[in-house]
Amino acid sequence: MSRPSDKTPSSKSIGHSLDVPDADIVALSKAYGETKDLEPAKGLDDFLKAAARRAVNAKPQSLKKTEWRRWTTPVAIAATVVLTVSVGMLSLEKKNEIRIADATPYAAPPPVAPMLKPMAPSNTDSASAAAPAGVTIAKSTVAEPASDVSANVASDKALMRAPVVATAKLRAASPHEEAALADDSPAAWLKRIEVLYEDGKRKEASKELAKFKQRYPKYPLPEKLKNES
Amino acid sequence: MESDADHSDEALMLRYQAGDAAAFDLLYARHRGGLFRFMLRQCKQRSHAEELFQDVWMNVIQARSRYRIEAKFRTYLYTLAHNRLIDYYRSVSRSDAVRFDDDDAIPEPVGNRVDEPHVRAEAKEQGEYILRLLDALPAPQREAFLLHEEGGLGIDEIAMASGISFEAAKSRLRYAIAKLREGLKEFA
Repeated sequence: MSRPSDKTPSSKSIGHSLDVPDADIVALSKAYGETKDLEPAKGLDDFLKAAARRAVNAKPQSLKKTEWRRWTTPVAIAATVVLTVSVGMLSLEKKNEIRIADATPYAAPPPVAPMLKPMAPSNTDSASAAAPAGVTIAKSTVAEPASDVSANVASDKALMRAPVVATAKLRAASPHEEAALADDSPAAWLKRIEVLYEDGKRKEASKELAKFKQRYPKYPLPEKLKNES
Repeated sequence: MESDADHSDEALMLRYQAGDAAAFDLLYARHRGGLFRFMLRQCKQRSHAEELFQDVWMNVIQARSRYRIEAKFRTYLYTLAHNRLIDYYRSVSRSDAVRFDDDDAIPEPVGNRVDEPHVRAEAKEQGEYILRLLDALPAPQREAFLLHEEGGLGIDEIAMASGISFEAAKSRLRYAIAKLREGLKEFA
């Protein structure tokens, strides 16, 4: 194996710097040069060259890794954005479903007559019974869901939906619906009782009349019904 | 046509850094003998010398990406060798490390002085004799001489590789050469 670097450095310049005769330095280097026959084992040479080659060959692989790593951040950001948008859209969809589900029962509202029940007894003044139906309905629709909820307090879901139901009912209290509710007024009830009598359904009519009197004891009855009772 | 600069140690190291394994082979061929003997002359045992030698080259391989031309490659290589040797001295014996750091303040080991008759009698050839003289030198002086002879370093490069001042390097080398010259005169 060639050993260009095994040449002794310029002894002349060293001798000058050290104040030593150049001839002495040269002689010393020559004497020491006789010992420069020892070298590392061939196996060690091979091992180190192979290690050097492996290290260089491993470079492209590590570059690939680096390239892949370069994309990890943008990919992670994109994935986060997609996930966030998906979750957002899902939750919006879910909210809409809840609103629709809450609004649906109101589209076919349950009988409103019971909702008015608490109102009538409290109105001792008979004049107030004839108050504008809209006001009465509005009050009762706000108050009623709360009582419904307290009755069904076992369901957390219902509890959570209660305000939404109330709001939906308030929103839906249009004049048309108010008219429908007004049909369940005491007058309308009496009218239905009269019809029952006219149809010959006396037993059913008497039962309804008794209920009416119990509910509205001071309500003036029409002549026809006074005779029946 | 490639210039000499293209085949300098530094250029080869940069080529190896860029992935040219053949450049390392050239570099290794240039310095393997000198570096191996530098280690062997100081730790005395071939197995230890090979271990240290291997460590230094593995260091060169692993640190190739950080290599910058701030000095000659050989100065860089022997700086690594010096540092590894210091670690070796510390691991083998604390007293050796102290002895190395204290320059020639510590007396030479008994029974290893070059002026003793048995030393001269055992050395049948000049080469063998100069190695005995070398063994008898204080470690810092021996290292300075070997850095000059095996590494081909000048005084300023010896100072850099050993982490000492120019004057200290010059002093170590002067003492080493003076003692070896004296010893050789006696042999003759």
